[in-house]
Amino acid sequence: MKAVMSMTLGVMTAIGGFVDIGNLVTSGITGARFGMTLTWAVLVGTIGMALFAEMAGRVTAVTRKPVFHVVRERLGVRVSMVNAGASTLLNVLTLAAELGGVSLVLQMVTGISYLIWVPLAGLAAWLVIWRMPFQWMENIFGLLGLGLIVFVVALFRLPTDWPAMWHQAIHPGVPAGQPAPTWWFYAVTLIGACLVPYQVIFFSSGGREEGWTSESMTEMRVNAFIGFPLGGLLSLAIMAAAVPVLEPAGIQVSHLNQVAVPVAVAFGRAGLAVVFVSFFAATFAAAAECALSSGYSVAQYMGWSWGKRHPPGAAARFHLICLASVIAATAFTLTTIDPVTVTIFAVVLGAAAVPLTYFPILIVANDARLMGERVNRRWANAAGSFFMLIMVVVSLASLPLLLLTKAGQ
Amino acid sequence: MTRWDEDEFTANDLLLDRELIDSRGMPAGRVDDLELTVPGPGQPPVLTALLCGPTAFGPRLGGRLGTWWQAIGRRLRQVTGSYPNRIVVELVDHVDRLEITLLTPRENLDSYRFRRWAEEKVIGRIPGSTK
Amino acid sequence: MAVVSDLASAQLAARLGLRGQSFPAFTDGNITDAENDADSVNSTFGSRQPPDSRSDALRQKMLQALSDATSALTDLRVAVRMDDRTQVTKALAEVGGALRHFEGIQQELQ
Repeated sequence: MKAVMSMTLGVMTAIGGFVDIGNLVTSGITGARFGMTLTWAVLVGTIGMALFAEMAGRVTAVTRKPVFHVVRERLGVRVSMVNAGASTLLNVLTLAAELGGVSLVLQMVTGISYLIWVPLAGLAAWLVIWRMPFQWMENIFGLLGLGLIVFVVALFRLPTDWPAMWHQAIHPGVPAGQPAPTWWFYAVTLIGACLVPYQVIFFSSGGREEGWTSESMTEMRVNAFIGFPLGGLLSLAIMAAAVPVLEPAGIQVSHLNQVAVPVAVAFGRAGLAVVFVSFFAATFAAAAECALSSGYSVAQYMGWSWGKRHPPGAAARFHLICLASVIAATAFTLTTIDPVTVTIFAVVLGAAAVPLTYFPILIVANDARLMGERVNRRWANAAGSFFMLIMVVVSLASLPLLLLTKAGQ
Repeated sequence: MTRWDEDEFTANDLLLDRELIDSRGMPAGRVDDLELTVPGPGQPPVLTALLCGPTAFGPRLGGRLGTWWQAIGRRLRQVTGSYPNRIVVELVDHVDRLEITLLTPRENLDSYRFRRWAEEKVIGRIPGSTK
Repeated sequence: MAVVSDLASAQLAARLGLRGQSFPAFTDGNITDAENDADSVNSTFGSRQPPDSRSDALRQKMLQALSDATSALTDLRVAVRMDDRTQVTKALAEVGGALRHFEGIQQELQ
């Protein structure tokens, strides 16, 4: 009974945890502009994340080390340094986007300019990392993030044209009147939003914080194969809700509050309140996870002690890195660069870096001497390699598309 | 007596970049390089110590970044000179594929310096660090 | 056309506000964003030089439409902040007019 409860909790936090500012923004933009024609991109990103999270989780459970810890040993000093360096830089950029997101939500609720909230959000995120017990953090924000289900429910209240949306989803193609490069660009952003490195770093290191062992395999797999895909479904719901409300009116999404409008149309103030809470939970939890992931990446690479399970004094350099990344991200966001723009850049660069940040997982999970009988089966390797191939193409296309479309014009 | 999990292996397999775990189970850095000593004329070299720290890490990194890393390391350790932190092989308890366990707590190792700076000068000063 | 999106976005937000389906800060935020975005399109467009006289006529129409749009949005924002239903309804009519203006231009372009 306790195991079932714990597993349910795990799934629920994974669902809420999967969605962050990247998913909120990209789903809202693409639903309003392209209908459901980019459903395939969310599927690609979600399946990829589930696949590689399972591999990373399996490595963590079997070796009792987080997956990127093993990367330095397998891939050597230079390659793993590039991997750790790229991940850390991306983490800080993503953290800036998430802090921007948190601040935008608070602006939505209070009307007070988001810039005032930025340093407060940074401070709060850091305090959570500093003092809040790991399980609390996971459970509270994961469950609050589940409020995003209001988008699914809203679909039944809005004049949703289910057959038309289904048709669009299974017949992917650039809608009439929209430029093709922009469509492809947003496909990249949707994929990138699902595959931001901090997610898999956190999944693996978080698993270690919770003490995963070979016994935890089922729990880990349920999180990866059920939790994350359900999170992907939430992203699709956010995309779909924009279709009956924003698309017909010709409204393009460029601000976070527009993403919430469909729920206001469906449920008025009550729905909007749920959206505020769940948007806050999703972005705030993501911010804390990003900052922790910066600490995890660097500390694991260098062999320092890391993790919230130690009192901070016993993992001083880890906490130093977390603090430094929060400060850097806060400073970056305070330069008043539009948080939505930062988010787009973070997901595009995340997509571009996927081969670098995810390929090591595939290699490590294939190491028989490390993994014993839990080494990758053929299906995992086939799926993983196929996915990596797709991601190399996506990665190569991402920066040219960014320049060509001027970040999605 | 150091216990080795395998009888025949390469430095890459079992030693280099492995995490060091001290006698209390806390991480104590990674093996950046190895110290080998020739015991006598005509004899093969034996492993006498594990080396850690920026001055050992720099040369492994190679190139300009490596040289720079090494220089920083030298600058931070005016006291003991540029030879990297040594962990004599007698302090090694157990070596396996995943980690190397030591017989001593990490406070006794030379590589404690940066950690102590972080602990005392930064993190220790923030309220709530000892819970 | 980005300004059409701004007008429509503000229109929807204001209507939600009138129907009590959103919160004042939320409504205000949406409309202010729309107003700011339309303003920046207006200033960018106003600073460009037309290549020939036919474009000049079109440009005049656009400038007029843009100016109508930004003033409609400002009026809407002010009315919403004053919480005056009559004013809001009036401003919404202005916004509707600006939207139709743009529709006309778009048809002309096609």
